[in-house]
Amino acid sequence: MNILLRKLLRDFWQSKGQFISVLVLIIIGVMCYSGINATYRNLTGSSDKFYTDYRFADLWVTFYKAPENAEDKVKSLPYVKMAAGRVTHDAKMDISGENAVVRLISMPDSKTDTVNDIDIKSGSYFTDAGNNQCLVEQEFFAANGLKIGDYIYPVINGAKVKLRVTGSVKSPEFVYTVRDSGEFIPDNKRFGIVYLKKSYEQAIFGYEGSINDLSVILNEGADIETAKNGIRDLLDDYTVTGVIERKDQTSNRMLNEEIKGLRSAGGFFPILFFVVAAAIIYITMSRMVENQRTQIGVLKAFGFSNTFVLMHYLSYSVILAVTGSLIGSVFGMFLGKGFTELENMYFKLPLADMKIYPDLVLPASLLTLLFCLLAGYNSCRKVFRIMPSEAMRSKAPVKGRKILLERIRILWKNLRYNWKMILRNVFRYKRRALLSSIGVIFAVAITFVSLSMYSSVNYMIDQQYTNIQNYDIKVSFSRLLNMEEIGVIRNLQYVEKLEPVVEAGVEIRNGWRKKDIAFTALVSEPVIFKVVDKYGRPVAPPDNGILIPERLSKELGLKPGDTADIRPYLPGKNEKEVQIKGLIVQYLGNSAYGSMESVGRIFGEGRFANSAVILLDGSEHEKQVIDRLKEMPVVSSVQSKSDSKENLLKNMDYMVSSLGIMILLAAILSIAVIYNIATINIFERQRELATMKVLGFKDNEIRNLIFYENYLLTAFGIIPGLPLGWLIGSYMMAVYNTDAYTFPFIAGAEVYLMTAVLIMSFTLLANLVLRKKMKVINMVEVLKSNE
Amino acid sequence: MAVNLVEVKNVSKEYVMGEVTVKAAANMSFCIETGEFVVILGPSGSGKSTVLNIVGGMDRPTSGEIWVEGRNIAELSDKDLTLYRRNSIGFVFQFYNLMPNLTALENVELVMQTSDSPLDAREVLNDLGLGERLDNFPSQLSGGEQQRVALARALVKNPVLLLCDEPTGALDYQTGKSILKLLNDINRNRKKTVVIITHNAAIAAMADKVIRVRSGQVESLEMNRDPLPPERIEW
Repeated sequence: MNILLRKLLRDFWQSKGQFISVLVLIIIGVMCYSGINATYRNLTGSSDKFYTDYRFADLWVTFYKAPENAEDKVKSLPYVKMAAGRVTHDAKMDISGENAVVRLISMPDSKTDTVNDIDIKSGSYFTDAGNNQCLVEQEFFAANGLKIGDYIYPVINGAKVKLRVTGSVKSPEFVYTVRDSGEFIPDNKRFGIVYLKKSYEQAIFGYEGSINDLSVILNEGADIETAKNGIRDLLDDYTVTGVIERKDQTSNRMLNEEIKGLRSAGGFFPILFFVVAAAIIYITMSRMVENQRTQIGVLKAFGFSNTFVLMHYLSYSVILAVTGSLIGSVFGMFLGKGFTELENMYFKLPLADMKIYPDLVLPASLLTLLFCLLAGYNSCRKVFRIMPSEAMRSKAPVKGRKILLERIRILWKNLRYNWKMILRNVFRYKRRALLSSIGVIFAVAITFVSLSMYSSVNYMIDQQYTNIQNYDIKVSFSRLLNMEEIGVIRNLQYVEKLEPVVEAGVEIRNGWRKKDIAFTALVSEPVIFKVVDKYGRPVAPPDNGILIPERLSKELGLKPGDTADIRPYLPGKNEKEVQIKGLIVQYLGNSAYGSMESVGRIFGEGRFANSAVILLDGSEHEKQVIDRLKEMPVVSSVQSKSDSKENLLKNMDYMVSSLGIMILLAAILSIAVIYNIATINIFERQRELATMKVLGFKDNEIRNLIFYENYLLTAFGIIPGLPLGWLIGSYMMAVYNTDAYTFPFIAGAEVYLMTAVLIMSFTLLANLVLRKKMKVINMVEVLKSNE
Repeated sequence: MAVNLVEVKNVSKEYVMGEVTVKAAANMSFCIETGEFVVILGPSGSGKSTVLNIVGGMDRPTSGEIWVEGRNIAELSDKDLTLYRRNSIGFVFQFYNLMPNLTALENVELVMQTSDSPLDAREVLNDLGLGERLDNFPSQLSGGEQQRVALARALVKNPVLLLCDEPTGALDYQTGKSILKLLNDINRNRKKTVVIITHNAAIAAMADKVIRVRSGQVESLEMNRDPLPPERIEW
């Protein structure tokens, strides 16, 4: 075996390019497997630990105002383990020269183990020295360059309140710190959490002895629906505005979605690479066995058993699998660490227990080995059929055969000789062509998915920020304003146009199916804040009914013409029946729409608004107008569209680079396949190519015989690859859709074209690498006998 | 007086293989006249393949000159050598070297596409008795038929020189003779210069000129006043 092993190693060395390219695929496969799975474990492990250690809630109940003893009432319910009453309020604040919003949340005056507890990152918990102490969530703390002992000045009831920062903290409630589910990327400079002493927050908001938020931990095994309904009924007198369970909690849901995505990527990507590696191994080894028929015959003639010979050739796969798994696992560990840190740029989890997982090496290696052995065994099975005597005879000459295409005589007659040779060659080795297509098809699908995602997100941003939100500033009020009061803002300098908006939380119900959504009322013919259908065409908000997003209509089983029940989360409001007037598309958020008139019907109120959108007569005055608005006591927050768009675009860089990585992986797949197929092709046709060279064919004419075949194979892969990409892409986009946002799946002609161009250029690259191989074709080959 | 088509002057060829230098040709000189039927004769390792490589434009000598149609092909660039092989030389190989993927006709048409003034492929194949086998692939043809396709392939571009490397080497006695007959006809009827490189001394009898090579040197060069017709050659 020792000598044979040496022979095998020399075989490797002779086809080292092929060996390395397959090895690279295996390494990438294993790397993805262990890296992505390690990231998955790091994130789930860290979040589970963080959630447990800091008593992350199971339920959040919000209401207008309830006495503190509501906490005790809830605690007395049989299925409740812990409950903590709090006061939470958003407040605007100027910091770092920007207009930020902070969520003020009350915490016990002295440190107790409470629900949704905080992890002190720097500084210390509240002390007895003064009431106006605050703890700042660490991302906001860092983004705004705060230090312990600094003062911040949120505006509460129109007055600036001076707070002294005593520490920075992290809460399991805000692992992913976004203001609400409509905002999908954190803006740590403009939104943050500030924790205050409970007594102090109650005092400044006029909530003495009262709370407006309860965080609840349930006993293990408690039924969530029972608990939700029980608590809601219990607190009914205090006008419950929302009951949110853990799986719907914004931060947790974002984290879980990412983890879910990682999990499927951790299975999907490695398999993809293993399949392609297996296809190449199959082709390479079939060829090796075919070319070494004589050697195999000799071995058998000397009395080596079938199994022995088979094992000998199988060790090629084994060596590939073992080397690949080892190297891949080592890289995977680094990848896992790096990837976790990358993910954690968004999910600021305490990664205390980031580990290396040696137990991931085993499944990765076994999986690799399985694929390699399957491919190897199937290609080497032929060894059994080779008789010692037969193997000593020379190989039968390659058969030329007519292909189906030749039936189309006009076409065939007009083909040049090189295309005839290429086509016959491709069809002669159909299996090889098919197997190589697999790699190309995968590469096409990955590229297509990446590009279509990019185009979809761009489309969405474009729709959202130019078609739907055509305004410059959105302003929210701390109370309901009548039209006269809004007129004051409309008359501000530089305000070109203003449209009042009503935004409220409602529960929409169709029979037993119900959902907490937002309700947005717009003016009858909105210009600067529109509602659109799936073609991007504006839809007028109806006076006597509502428009709902398509996704919601499916979820609730509602179609236009149906009626649904709506219950506003406002004190003393009852359920109203409304008609669904039409379906719309909403990319960010989940809201029903109606006109300002409809507000009266649903809410039983006259014309009022709690926010407004503003179009300026020039963006250069934005700052002035914002400053002016912030001075108004009724204004609770001001959002600049350009700021939120900018924040989104900034984060697009991350997306672009991850798409870049995907396309790089596609390139590796496709180049590895084409390179291998062509190498075998060149090897097997050395004699043909050498003859052509002797006959006076120019180097490029000979090269093109191989290169055009590569382009042809690539084209064959592109044709099924594009629809496959479309399927995967639309599926993935559908999976990414959540209550908070809808991704359209947009793949225009340019996505198809760009994918084809990219894939073709990968083949062009492979061809460039192959030029060197073509150079060494030796003309003396023609003088040798057929082996 | 006949014109020299090929003039080989003091050609040497050395191959450096690792640490040893192999002298494949040492100071060879000979010439081939237009319309001549030449046999280059020698045992294996004598250097006759080197002559084929160098005259055929597949390789360059280490020193010396090879004048063909007024050009020293030893000094041609790779590109020009390719054009030289394409336009001036017709090759016939011991193992035919047909494209397995192309039919008999297509194999011939293949080289036509590289030629400026090719003959008609069907006609040439017909002349060589392959009229019925045009659409057959090499694997469907006998050895002799394959060699005739190879001959047609060499002829169709109307080369100035037909270089044949052991054209009968892979064939049985009768078939071999029929190929020799064809080559003889091509020489006599089409006035083509034919050079056969072989180790088979019997073939020398049909040549106008016999060049014997041994150990990389021209051992003798003799003119045959009465070449035998191929039918009468025996080995």
